[in-house]
Amino acid sequence: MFQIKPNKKQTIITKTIPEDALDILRNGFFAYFGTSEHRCIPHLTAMFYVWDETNQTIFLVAAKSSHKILNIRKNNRVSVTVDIRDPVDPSKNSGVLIRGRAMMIEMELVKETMTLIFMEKYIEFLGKGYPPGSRIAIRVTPDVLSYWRGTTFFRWTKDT
Amino acid sequence: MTSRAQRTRLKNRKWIYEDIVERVPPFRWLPPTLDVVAQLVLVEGLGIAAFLYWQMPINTVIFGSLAIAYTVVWSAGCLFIAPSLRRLRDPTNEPELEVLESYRGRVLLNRGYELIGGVSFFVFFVGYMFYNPNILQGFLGAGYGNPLLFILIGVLAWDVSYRLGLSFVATLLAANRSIRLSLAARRRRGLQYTAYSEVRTLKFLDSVNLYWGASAILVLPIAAADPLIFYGLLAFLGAILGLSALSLMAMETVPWLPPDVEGVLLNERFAYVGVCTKRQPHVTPVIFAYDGKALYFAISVGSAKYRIIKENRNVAVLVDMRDRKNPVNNRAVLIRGHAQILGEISPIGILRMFVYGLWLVRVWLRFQTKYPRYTKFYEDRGDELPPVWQIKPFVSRVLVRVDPVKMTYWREASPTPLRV
Repeated sequence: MFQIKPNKKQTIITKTIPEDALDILRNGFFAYFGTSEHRCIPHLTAMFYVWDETNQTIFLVAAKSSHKILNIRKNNRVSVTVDIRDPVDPSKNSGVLIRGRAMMIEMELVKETMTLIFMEKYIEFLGKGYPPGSRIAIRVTPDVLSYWRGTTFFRWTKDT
Repeated sequence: MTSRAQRTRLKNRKWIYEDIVERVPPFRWLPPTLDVVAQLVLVEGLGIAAFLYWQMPINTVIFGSLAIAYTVVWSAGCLFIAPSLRRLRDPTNEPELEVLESYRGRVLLNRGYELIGGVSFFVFFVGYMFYNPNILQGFLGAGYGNPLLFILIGVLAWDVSYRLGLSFVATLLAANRSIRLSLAARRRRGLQYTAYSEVRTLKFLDSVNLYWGASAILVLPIAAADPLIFYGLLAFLGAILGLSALSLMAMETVPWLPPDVEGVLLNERFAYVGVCTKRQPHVTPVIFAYDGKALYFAISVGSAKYRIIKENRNVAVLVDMRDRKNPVNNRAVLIRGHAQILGEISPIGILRMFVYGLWLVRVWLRFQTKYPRYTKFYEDRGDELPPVWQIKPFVSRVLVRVDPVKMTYWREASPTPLRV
């Protein structure tokens, strides 16, 4: 009863994905990938990703036997966060939260250019002989994309 | 390391009381919870029959019933303590494992430790009754001198002595174990630790020890008949209280998580919180504080997290060390558990604040020391922000406490599940 009521009007609705949000997605290094288990128990991991500019989708690579893949098989609703952290000034914190559906694609079927961009980006981290057969690509198509800069919030929805 | 034979012995070895309950009819036919009731009915029935037969004074039946009540209350505690002690899982840190093994061995396997206290109390009691027979005479009235009644009193005295002795020895051993465990915990390396479910069980056992000791208050009115016994019992209660406090304080200093995990939680500044509503996960970054036990993060009442956590308290929190250049330096901790919102003005919120009380102030201070620049930012420019983002406890900001259920630690890309 003492609490402030949240004002939804403060979120700015955009018709296209804001350019700043795209910049974060292009330049980010780690993505935080959220899936959910049975009975809506969340699971979260840090992952490598590539933003696919032409299709406006996000590509991630995971081990086939990993927990997140098992979760996606049961529920393909996922969420991906890429953000810029500022330990000094909270008004400079910004980030993108993508909520959407995940689709699993065998590594051989992923466009070659995407695989190359991915390998180039994470060359330091990927061992010799990458990608091994035990891996699978996840493509996330955004349904809702939220972008924040300090305390300003933007929201893009696929249907608008 | 414990050998398999010792493990089996640990599992099968019972205290004398448990053996009786398991083997002697009618207790062996009853489920454990009813054993205590059966014990009460049987012994009290016997006592009342003796009271009627020998026409003893009325206060004898009251005092006798108190002694019987003590044995029953103690036995109820015994039903919890021994099984939980056997169920304790092994710490992954060798020195801590040794401490726990020796404690378990002493409490469960060593009949000497089990009986020494009881025998001492019993010998003292019998000796004192010979030295000062007036006390017993006053209690038993007309029946004094009857050998059957002496046997009955003797059995009751042994029952009480055995329990007093065992509670004292158990509390003494627990205090010794807690101090040694706390010292051994300082020698942890890497992912070695005692899972905090076990730490919690040990603390629970300590509280049962305290309950055991404190239940001796029931025999205080009987002891009031003689100053020596009375003050002796008071000293016993004081010792139990002191040792239990010492044990609990030592257990408080045992960290709940292994040093590698604590290293990530104490040094990192950001955490990612995953929540879920209507099968849709939601991930956002937060600032957080870790107090050696649970993880706390502060959220605005205007955020989606707040709304979702109120619907579904399952959360996943990921804290990670990032290094773009060197893969070896990448580490992460994923804590999955239950969230509890603290700092709401609502009946349940006020109850939680009452439970956590000053601890919340400590957590707020921890936030302020961990994020001095953030605190300054909100102090200087807070008024320019929308009301829901201002730092106003209870009004616009609440704390969320995460109690872990599952935990995973990553070094590079290889996960290690940790027991909680």
